[in-house]
Amino acid sequence: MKRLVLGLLATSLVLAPPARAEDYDFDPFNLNADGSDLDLELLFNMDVVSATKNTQKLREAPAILEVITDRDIRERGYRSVAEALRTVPGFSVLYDYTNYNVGVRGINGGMRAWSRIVKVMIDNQPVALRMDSSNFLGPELIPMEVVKRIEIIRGPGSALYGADAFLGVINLVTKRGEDLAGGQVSTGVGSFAKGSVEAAFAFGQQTELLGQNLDLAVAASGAQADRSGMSVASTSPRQTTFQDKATGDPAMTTGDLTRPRSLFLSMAMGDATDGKLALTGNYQQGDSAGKFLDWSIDQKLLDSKNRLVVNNQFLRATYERALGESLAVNLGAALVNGGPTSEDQLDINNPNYLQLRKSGYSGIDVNGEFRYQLSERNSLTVGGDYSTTDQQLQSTYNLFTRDFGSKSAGTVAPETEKGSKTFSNVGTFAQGILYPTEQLGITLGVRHDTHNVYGNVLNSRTGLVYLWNDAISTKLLYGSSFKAPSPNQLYSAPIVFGDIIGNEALKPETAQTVETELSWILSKHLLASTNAYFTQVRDQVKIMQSGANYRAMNMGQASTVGIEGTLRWQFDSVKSYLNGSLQNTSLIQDHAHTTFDSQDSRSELFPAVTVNAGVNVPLPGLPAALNLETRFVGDMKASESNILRKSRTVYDIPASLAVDVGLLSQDLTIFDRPADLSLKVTNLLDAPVIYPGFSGIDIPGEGRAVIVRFVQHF
Amino acid sequence: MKRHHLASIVALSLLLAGCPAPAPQGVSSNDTIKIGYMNPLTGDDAAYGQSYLDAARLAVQHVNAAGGVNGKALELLIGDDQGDPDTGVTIAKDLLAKGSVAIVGPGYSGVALKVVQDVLKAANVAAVSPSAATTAFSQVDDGGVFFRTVATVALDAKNLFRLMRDDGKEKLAVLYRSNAYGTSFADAFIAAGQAEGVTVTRIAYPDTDDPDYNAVRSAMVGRDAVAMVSYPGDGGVLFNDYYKAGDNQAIGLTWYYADSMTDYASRMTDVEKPRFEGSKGVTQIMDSPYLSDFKEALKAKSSVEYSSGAEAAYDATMLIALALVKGGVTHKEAVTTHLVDVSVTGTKQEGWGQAGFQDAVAKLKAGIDLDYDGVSGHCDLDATGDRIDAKNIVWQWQDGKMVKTGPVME
Repeated sequence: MKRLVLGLLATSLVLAPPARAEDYDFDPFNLNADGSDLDLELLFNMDVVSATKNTQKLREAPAILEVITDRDIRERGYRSVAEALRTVPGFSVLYDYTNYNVGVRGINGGMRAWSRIVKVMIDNQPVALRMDSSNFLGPELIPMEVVKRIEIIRGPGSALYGADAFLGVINLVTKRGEDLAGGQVSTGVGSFAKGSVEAAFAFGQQTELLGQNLDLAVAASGAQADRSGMSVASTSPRQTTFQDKATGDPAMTTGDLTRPRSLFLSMAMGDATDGKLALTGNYQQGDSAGKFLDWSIDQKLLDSKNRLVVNNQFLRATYERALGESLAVNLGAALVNGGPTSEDQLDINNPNYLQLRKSGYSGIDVNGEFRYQLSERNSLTVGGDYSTTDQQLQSTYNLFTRDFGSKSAGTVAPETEKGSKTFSNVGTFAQGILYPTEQLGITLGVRHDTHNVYGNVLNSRTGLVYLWNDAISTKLLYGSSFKAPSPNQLYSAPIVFGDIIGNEALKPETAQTVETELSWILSKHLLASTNAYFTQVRDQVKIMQSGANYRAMNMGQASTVGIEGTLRWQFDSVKSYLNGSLQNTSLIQDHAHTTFDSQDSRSELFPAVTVNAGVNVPLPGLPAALNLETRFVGDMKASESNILRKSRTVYDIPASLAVDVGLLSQDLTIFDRPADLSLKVTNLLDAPVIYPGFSGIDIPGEGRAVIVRFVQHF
Repeated sequence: MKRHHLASIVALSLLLAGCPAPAPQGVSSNDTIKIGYMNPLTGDDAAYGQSYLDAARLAVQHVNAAGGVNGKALELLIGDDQGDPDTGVTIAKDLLAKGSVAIVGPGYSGVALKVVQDVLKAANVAAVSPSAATTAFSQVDDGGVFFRTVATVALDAKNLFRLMRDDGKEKLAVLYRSNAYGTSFADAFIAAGQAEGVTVTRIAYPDTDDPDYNAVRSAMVGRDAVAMVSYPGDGGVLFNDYYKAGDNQAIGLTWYYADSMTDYASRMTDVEKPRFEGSKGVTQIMDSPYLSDFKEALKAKSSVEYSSGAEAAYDATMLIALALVKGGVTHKEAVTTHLVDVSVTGTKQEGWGQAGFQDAVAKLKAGIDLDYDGVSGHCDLDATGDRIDAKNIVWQWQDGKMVKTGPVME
């Protein structure tokens, strides 16, 4: 550990040359002298809020932070946050056609993690599904039309955000009405599997009401896709289970419909000086057939009648205002609600009934923060928050589909009723941002959380950011973080025979991270950024087979060391990026688990190497721009669940290379209003892509698909 | 610039110095004697397979601590047959390809029958099963490679019938899964009834983990007791569905269980406990002066709940090791030739575990005829490889646990 810290320190100090501004024969803040766009400058000096909750320049923010702008989203045709995350170094995005599961820097949460190792927020409001602390990252999360930018922190965030800001933070900053300045409708069709359709609407306006500025933004999106016709991947240990025994033909999924829905609303009145009141609402509904989920696969079905419908919503009011010249206050309160809906049903391969699960939640979050501005750049923030959630502990019911003894068809009868439990947390934090010199920024933060189930947790951070000049910055960061056990992990009843049972002894996972970054505008057209990190996770939680059932368990520790780098090159209107990551993670289990004692200490489900590249080029003489992106994902160790099913023979999911190409109209107007027409081909080469799965199957990736979209502004 | 490069290299070296060393590779040299282990390790019946695996591992640990076999360490190769005969064939071939000289398992009767017939007989490699209890082996030529440290279902079926009759039950049914184990148990149960002039209703359901209770329900109407010959996965579905259908009121059966359902305890939920409470079964009693120490040692090594009969897996592994010692060689023929020899007639070793194995080896090296006494009892096998010293004991579900209440039944 000491060697690593020394290594990181040395890297930080040595990789950053003592260059001075006069070494450059250009002014980095006049990159657009030739008339080109401002992207590189804007990126380096872009305002971000997620690193400290204060508005800071990207280069000054004490975090390894990536930003994907609304412009990136439009030009690259991203239809979900997950699609955007696939291009971020240090992230690995898996998909099981129900939910996305992101891993960060060598660590993936594993079975049913569904991105629980990161904190996902919309305008600073956490949006995890509280029953299992998973996150939606697909189109059900938010209409992409209202996403102004996605701020992505790789690294710890618990010293500021508390629980679950464990290995990363994803904060969606939304557009205001003035950003939308009108309305837009969009529609699209896609060719993947049996086809897809989608539609979205967004409208925003700024007006006056009762003498006050009123800013209004509203958006809705929905899609439907039929992914039927897929079979388990060739690497699956149980591939033969899903084959016709006589012919050897693979069994295919049927009825694999998905219907994501999303709504967003924001209203704001006033201004931050005299008082600004804002109301934000978000509704998320995931709806899928869960064909490749572990428990469904255990029923040996690809034609199940599953329908997993889960919603998640919040309504939040915030008030901010200045209290004098130096002091500002920010208050907020949110109502949250969600869980499986009445349409949710699980096929457990019993001819007489379907299984229903109930794990709904409702809660209230309140927070208050005071920021004292010592000077223009120096500030002190103290704050606190309280969150209470009434959680129905996952219980199961049977919906009888035919007359069954004394039960008539349509009857719903309880099977396991676990009751409800209140989960509450009080968090207090303090953060100071100090600039002892013009060039050196020091951020210190500490946060204490008290939870009624798992007790007290203290986290801290230290960030040193040195601005060598206007073109170069280096960061040296330390932070601790934790991932709280979810209600399902603690108390769940099995949804099917042999399924996960709660583990009330589960402890929070904790992590400590040291990281360093160098960002450098190398030339007028080239921005480079590289970082190195070391993270040690203790009490890592995995869902492991424990006797006849699965159980979330603290398995030991994981140590990850890695480097990440990004190059952005821009010339005139041609923009490109190249990024990559290299990591090595080693697991040390506290005690040998009888079901898994492999000598291979690599982390499951995360590639050692990823490389992403993209270029956006206006087509000469044509009113369109070409966007090309490619993603290389190195081979990764299969899930431990699958390795068990393969008689403990460790195997890897093979590397993949996917190429997406898109065409986007330029300066198209219809009815005198702007419009976009786009064509995107994903996985152009139809390259084999496999996602690691569980319970003996791996999951086929998306093959080549064509998506055509039309957007009309009004 | 050069200075920067040098410093960068130094820094990266420091960084890399903190990288964990490559993981050590698993033992795979030719210096070990390899024994395979086959059982379900995943899926509905994983609990039992894992507990038995830990018992086999404990035996290997004791053997190696005592100096190994003929100068070489034992190595356990693990195969998850998932309780499926076709998968079992694949696993067995793999274990043989990796050099296994004998196999502990398969645990399931159906898997054992197919694996012995399709793979092991031709290869002349011994299978020593701790739980495959079907009587169907008496009807097939196993080539002299099949042994077991469990008695056949004939004993269990006879005594389960006896228990139900002693409880005053008159209208009996046997509900069983149509596989090798279930069918042979039902046959023996019905035969026991015929011997006393009692007609037993035969209720078979398909060989599946997901049986349909509605398909067997009508046959149970009018019975007052049913013997369930199932595994925890399918048996649990049927028994719980009996309650969900309200048939505990409408039909009002008393349930009895074959040995194969004893592992339901490891998965019983709070909802299920009152449903099962008080119902009974029989299991093979495997008792010895060493059993409590064995369970303690197993508990210290295993993170899964002890599964009834795990001691038979320990003894199966020990018998293989002792047969190899007696043969004085490290190849497969030693096991098929000497395994029965070391289980019966002769001088018993002193103690169990590492010390017991050391003593047994000393006796064999001295030319003394060994009669291995295991942690599961005398562990005597007949000439066909079947265990002949087992007895039954009555057990009962009490607060979600399987409690051996007695009496012992011969």
